[in-house]
Amino acid sequence: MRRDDDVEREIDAHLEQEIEERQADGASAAAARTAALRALGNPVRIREDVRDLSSWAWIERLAQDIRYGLRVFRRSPVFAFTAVASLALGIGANTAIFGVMDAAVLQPLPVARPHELVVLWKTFQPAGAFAYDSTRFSYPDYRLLRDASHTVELMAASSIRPVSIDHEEVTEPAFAKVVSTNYFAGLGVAPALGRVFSADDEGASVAILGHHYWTRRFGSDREVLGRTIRLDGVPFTIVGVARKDFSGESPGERPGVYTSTALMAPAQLEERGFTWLTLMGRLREDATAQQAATELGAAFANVPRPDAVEPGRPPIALEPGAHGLSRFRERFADPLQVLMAGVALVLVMACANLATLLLSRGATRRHEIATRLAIGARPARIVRQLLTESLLLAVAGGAAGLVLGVWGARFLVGLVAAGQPGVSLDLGPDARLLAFTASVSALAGVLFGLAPAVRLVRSHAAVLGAAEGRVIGATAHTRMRSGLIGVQAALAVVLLAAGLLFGRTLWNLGNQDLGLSLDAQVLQVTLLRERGYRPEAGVVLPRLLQRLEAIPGVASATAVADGTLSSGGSGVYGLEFPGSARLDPDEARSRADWVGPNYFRTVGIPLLSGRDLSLADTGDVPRVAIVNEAFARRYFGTAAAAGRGFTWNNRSHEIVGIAKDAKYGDLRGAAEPRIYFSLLQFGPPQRLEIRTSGVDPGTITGAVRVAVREIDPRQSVGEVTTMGERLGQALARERLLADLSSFFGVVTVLLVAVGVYGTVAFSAATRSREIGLRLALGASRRVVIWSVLRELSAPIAIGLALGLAAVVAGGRVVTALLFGLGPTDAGVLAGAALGLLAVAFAAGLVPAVRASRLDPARVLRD
Amino acid sequence: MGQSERTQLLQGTLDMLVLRTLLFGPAHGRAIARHIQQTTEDVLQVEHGSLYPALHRLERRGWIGGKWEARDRNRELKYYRLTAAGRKHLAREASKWHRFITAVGRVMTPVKGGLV
Repeated sequence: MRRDDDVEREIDAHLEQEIEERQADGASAAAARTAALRALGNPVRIREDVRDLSSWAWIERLAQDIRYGLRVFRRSPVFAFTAVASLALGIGANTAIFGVMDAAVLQPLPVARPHELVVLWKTFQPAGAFAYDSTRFSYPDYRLLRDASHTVELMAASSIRPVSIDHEEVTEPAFAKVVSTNYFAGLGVAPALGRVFSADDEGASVAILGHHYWTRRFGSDREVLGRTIRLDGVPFTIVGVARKDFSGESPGERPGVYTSTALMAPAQLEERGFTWLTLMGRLREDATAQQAATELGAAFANVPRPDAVEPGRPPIALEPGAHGLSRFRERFADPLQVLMAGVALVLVMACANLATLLLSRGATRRHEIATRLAIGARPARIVRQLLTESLLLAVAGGAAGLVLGVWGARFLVGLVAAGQPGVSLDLGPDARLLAFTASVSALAGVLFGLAPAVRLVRSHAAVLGAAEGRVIGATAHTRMRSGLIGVQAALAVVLLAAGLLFGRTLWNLGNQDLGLSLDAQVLQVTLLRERGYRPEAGVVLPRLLQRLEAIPGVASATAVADGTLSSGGSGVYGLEFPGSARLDPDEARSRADWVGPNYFRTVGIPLLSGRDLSLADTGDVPRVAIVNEAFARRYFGTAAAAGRGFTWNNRSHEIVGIAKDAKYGDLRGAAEPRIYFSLLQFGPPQRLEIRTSGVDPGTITGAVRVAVREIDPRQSVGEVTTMGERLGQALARERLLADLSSFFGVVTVLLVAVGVYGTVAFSAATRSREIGLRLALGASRRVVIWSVLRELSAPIAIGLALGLAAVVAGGRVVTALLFGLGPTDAGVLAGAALGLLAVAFAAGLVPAVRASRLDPARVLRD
Repeated sequence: MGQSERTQLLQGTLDMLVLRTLLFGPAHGRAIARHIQQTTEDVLQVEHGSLYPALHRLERRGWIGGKWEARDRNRELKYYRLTAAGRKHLAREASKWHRFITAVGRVMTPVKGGLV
């Protein structure tokens, strides 16, 4: 017999007995029954209590609650849709940012025991330049350190480089990473197919495919092992496929193929000055990082090298390497953290908004809840039912948010990667992401559901107790809704201020006077040279430039060693000035680049005096240079320095011109002293820079390729971008912050508008009798509008004040990400406050005006 | 949470009283309630709302056994009887209870001339 039936039968028997006895005492049948029931209490509740003893009862109850909740949502689809959509937005934004952050910043490399890994840094000092720290080593140095080390096993890897892959008559570009033969084994990464490199592969032309490339290009063909592909024309044998979750030691890169050092020219492998490898090591169990650094440093210093640092400074340092070494991370870790905080606020905002919605719904469910309480449901049981409904919403919102978030993370990486070759992250939703989304959703469900549910049930308990309960309940609701509106106003003002701060930063950076014209008319062309080929300075370049300038639509062409906006440029030190006292070599420093003829005309940096460099500035005597204003001011105390000179690296240079200060590499810093040496007196160019006029620059790239091949078949054209695009790349970080934070700012302000609208409309509806009475007694419509609006003015003002205070208190943390304004910029704070007030006022005005148009006669009659 | 603490406190006492009542022999729910009420001269009112859940709880733990029997005027009633385990449990609970009231009693009515 089922326990339920058992109890029911027992209770029935009890009642029968009781009734019989009371009748025997002389009571009427009806009176006896009433008295017996009263003595027993609520039979439904007794049955429920007995049923609750069962350990499965909670599942039954949960299923019941879920069924009930689904029915509730089917009856109010608009509410359900709004709630799920705003949750999906909040959860999706969190999932997206977390996904990128987890892949690039948080997760250790997917290798064995990542915490044993270290990354090697070296300190070096090029002739006449300052000391630098770098993670780039040459192949001879890798071999030297590897063989000398007893404390650490060293692995080497290049950064990814574009190569062309020929396979079955199809040539396409891809990214290759050159690694040492112990790279996979040392990191503890097993192959998905075939084998990894071993010591026997030293010098062999072998390749391992990246998993995603294998899937995309080879259709996951398992027969791929042993086949030959040509990388930049050199045949390689495929020996394996890398594991699916592994994409190198540098998050943000995803190599299509890993190769042995056979991809490099033999000369490049012998050249100690050619630094292109990142060294990672696995510390042996009994060794400390300090021991390893000492040991490696001694071996490193043992070899005479031109760029050795002064004795006494440790040449090698070890950093923890569990997360690898990632340029992507260095650049985007800070913005991602700011965005993560931002999206957390967006989610809290969405929760506050939903709580408001649920409270309004509570008003319409008053009758249902009161009835359920009246027939014996415990308040806790109803709170649980309401919470189940919230969690159902949260689950639906979380599922939609997960889809949105995975898509959003891809979109985000696309946004960042625009124009930056090779930036790619493995964003496949994994268990961590699922766990994150699930816990965020659950948290959100409790956050927005609990308070309204408790409030509702409590106010209805009051309804049952007090005749005037309706009024008590209503004021409690109103107070809570006001509080929620205040919270929303505070959050919206913070996010709006963030949007304005980052938007202004982007604008300031993009619209500052850079001192040069970086427009879409200037092309930057990376030159590729055959392996080991290094043409002598001034031999090929003049002919190439003349040939380029003959192309129709080319206004002027020049060449550079580093390239405008490509980096901060090199630095030189130890400058000497004839006729002045000798300066401390460390103090006599300047930034420098080596540029070709007509450089200043081409990139649009105005010359204040003197002349541009020309084809004649070749050969050794006299060496010429152009310096910028900052250089002239610093070393000559005047902007008129043309005709004077300096000595660097034991060679005297004549200053033939003074250029206006320009933001050359770093868009944020103030102009530093800079020397432009003549490239024709130095070496071959890395890049060409070409100003076009009257044509779409895209139309001449073909002609440029032809010209380069014609003049020097051993060189070819690599990447081609316009300077406008390069500027865009330089601002990728700022654009990311500006776009997303303004988007979140706008979304939250819209949510505030929805909240204010709903609250004012609700309050106007509950006060319709009072309003009708006031209108009937002659109150003006303006007075009525104001009386309705006034209710929310206090919470919004308080929220606004708190939000602004939070910006002032917490703004510091983003100072480094701003440009041209501080985190407490008065304009931004005022703009955010006014923006919020305007939107909130407009959103409140609509229902308030509608309330003032009530027909008093009708309201009072109803 | 406060509410559940209070129920548990009552529960323990009610359980013991039910078990003690059944020491006299099998009885149905209403008889148990009435016995407790009469013995305590109506000081303790047994809420039926908590009696039936208590009976089912005790049955589930194996301290009492319930059986539908028609003893009285052909009406089937569920009669509960003490099991061996229930007897043992009652003995433990009773001695705990006596220790408790003796201790409380010493505080509430100190012996004359005592030190404390």
